[in-house]
Amino acid sequence: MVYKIPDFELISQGAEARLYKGVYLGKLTVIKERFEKKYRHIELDLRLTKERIRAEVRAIVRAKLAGVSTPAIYLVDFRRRSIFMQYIENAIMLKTFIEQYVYKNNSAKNLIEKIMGKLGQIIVNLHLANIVHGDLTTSNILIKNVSEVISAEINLSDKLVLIDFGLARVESTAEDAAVDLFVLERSLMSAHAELPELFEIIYTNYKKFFSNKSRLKEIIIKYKDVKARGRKRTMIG
Amino acid sequence: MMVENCELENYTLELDALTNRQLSIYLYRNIQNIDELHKKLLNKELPCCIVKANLILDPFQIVIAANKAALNEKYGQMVARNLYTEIIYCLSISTNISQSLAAFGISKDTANVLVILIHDAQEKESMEKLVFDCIEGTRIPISRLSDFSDISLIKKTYKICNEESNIPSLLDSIVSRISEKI
Repeated sequence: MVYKIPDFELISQGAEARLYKGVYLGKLTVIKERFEKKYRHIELDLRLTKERIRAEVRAIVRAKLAGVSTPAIYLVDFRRRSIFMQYIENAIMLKTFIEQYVYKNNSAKNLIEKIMGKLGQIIVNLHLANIVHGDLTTSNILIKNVSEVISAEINLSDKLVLIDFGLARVESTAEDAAVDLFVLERSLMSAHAELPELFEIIYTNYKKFFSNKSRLKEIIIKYKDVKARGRKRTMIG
Repeated sequence: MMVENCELENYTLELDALTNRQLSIYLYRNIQNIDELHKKLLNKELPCCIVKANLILDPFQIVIAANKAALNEKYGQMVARNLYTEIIYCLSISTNISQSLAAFGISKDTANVLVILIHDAQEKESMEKLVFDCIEGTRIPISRLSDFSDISLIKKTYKICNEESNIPSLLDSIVSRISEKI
C-alpha cells in the first residue's frame, strides 16, 4: 500500500486490486486498494483508478438504497487508491455454501430453491434501479448466518449480500441487464454443473418479480440475443 | 486501536492513523445559551463542532464524517475554512456549505446537541474544560442519543426512502451516503 495501515492483513490479490482486512474506526473493515499499474502512464493510471473507485462506490450505495444488501462504505480515499468498507461477518461465499451443504444433502432442495428464488428477486431490485453488477457469480454473493438459514424459516433478503461491484454500472441498458443474467448463467453452469436447474429457478423468479413488464420484455429479447451470440457485441468492445 | 472508554459519558475514538488525532463526542440536552454558543462558534472562540442531535442516528455517523474531515485537513483538501465546519460539511450529502450548516448546525430553537472535539491524545482534558465551561445545559450519556433521533427527518435529509430498513441497515445507508460524496 502507498500508506501502510497498521495491522491490516492481505486477504486477496487480484489483477486490479488487493483486499486487506483489519479494524478501522472500531469496525472490522475491508480495504480494497486498486494498486498502481506501472505499465500505464502515471496520470492516466490515477484518472482511471479514480473513475473506477467512484463508479464502484456509486453502484454499492445505489444498490443499498434499492434494498439490496451490500457492504457499508466507511471511506473513499483516492490518495490511498482505496475504498474502506464493512467486512461482512459470519458469512461464506454462496459457492462454498452450495458445494459444502447442498451437494451432500438431498433434503436441501427446498432450501436451495428458496435461496435461488430470493436471488432472482434481488437481481430484479438491482435491475429495476438500473444497476447491473457486471460479475454475478456465486463467489460474489455472500450468505450470512448459515446455521440460521438452514434451521429456520427466516427472511433471506438481508442474508444474501452482494460484493465486488468493480464491474458494475449504474444507468444501464436492457442489454446490460441481459448480459448480467447471461454472465450469471454461465458462471452457474461452470461452478455448479452438478445442479443444472439453478439458473432456471433464478430466471423464473426474475420474470415473476420484475414489475416493469415492458422493460422485462426488452431484457428477455436481449437475453435471447446475447445467449445466441455470447457476451461480446460484434464490432464494439 | 480503539480507545473507546466505557465510562458513562465518554465517547473517544482514534481516527485514521494518518491523522494522529482522536475524536470525542458529548450529548447535551436543554441548552440554555444557544445564541451565545452560536456567536462563539462564529467568532472561533469555541474550538469544537456543535450539531443538532435530532439528525444523528448513532455516534458512528459522526465518526465517519469527522474522520473524513480530519483526512481532508491532513491532505490539504478541505472544502470548508476550518476543521469543525468541514465536519458539518462532511455530515451532509449537500455539496453546498451553507446548506450543510443550515441542516446540521445549531439554530435559535435548538435544545439538544452533540458536541464534537478533535484533539491529540494529550490535549483532550484542556479542550474539554474550555468547551464544557461555555455550555449551559445538561450533559447526558451518549447512549441516550436515540431518544432524540428523528428517524423520518434523518431519512429525508439523507434521501433514503427504503421503507423496510431497520436501524442497523439505516445506519449503514447513512454512513455510505456520507462516504459517497467525493
